[in-house]
Amino acid sequence: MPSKSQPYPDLDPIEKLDPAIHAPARLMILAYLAAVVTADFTFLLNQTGLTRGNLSTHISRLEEEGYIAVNKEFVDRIPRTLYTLTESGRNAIDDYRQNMRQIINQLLV
Amino acid sequence: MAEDTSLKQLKHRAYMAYHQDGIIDVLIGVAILGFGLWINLDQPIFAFLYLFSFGVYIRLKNAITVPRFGYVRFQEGKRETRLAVGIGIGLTLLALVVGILFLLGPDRVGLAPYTFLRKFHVYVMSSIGAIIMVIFGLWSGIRRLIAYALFLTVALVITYIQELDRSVPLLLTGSFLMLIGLLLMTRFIRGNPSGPRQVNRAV
Repeated sequence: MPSKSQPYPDLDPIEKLDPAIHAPARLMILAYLAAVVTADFTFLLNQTGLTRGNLSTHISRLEEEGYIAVNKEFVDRIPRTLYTLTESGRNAIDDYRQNMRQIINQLLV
Repeated sequence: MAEDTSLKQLKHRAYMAYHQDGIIDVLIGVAILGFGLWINLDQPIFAFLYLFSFGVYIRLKNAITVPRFGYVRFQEGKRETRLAVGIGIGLTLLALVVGILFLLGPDRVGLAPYTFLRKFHVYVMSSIGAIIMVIFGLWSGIRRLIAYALFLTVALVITYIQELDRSVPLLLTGSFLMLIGLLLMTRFIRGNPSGPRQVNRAV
C-alpha cells in the first residue's frame, strides 16, 4: 500500500499500450516486417512458428489496424501475397517501445 | 539503439538463413569448373557454363528456396562501404598474386605485359574471379565466399609452385564449391520441408 508521500505510480503507459501490438504473435510479425522490406506468408510462417490459421488471423487484425499493407503479385503465374509494414505500423512500434520502456523504468524497478 | 541492434540481428539471422540454400555455392562452383574444363579439355563450349550458372539463379531460388523458406526482400545496408572494402581487399589480393608470380618467375626480368598476360592469363583471370568473389562476399554479407576466394588463391599459388596443370586449381575449387553447395542444399531441403508447417506457438 503506497503512503501519501509515495502516491500510486502513473499507470498511463500501461493504458497506452496498443492491444493490437501487445499480443506476442502480432509483435513477432511486426518485428520481422520491421527488419525486412517485404515478406510473404510462408516466410512469416517459418520465422514465427505460428500455425497457418493463427498467422492468417493475426495478419488480418494488423491489416485492419492499418499496420501492414498487403500486395498481391504473380510470379510465373503463381500468386504471391506480400506483406509490408506501413508507416503507421512503424510509428505504432515506436510508441509501443516507448511505453514499454516507461513501464519498465517507472513500474517494474 | 539497442532496439535497432536487435532488429539488425533479426534481419541478419533471416538473411543468412535465406542464403543457406547452397544455390550460390553450386552455381559459382559450376562457373569455375566450366572454366577449368575449358582449359583442361581445350573446349570453349564449357564457357557456356558461365551463362548457365548466372541464368538459372533466380529460377532455382524460386524453385527451391521460396516454396520452403518463403519470399523475402531485405533492406539494403551500407553497400558503398562494403564495396569499397571489397575493392581494396580484391586489389590487394590481385597485387599479391601478380607479385608472387613475378617473384617466382624465372624469366621475370624484361617480361612485357603482353607476354606476361599470355603466359599467366589463367592465373590473372582466376585472380580476377577470386576478387569478384571477395567483393560479392562483402557486398552480400555471405562471408563464406571470401573463404572460397582464399581457397582458390592458395590453390593457384600451390599450382604455380608445384608446376601442376593450370586447370588443376580451377577444377579443384569448382568441385569443392559444388560439393559444399550440394551439402548446404541437402541440409536446407531437409530442414525446410516443402508445404505447410504446423508448429503451435504463442498466439
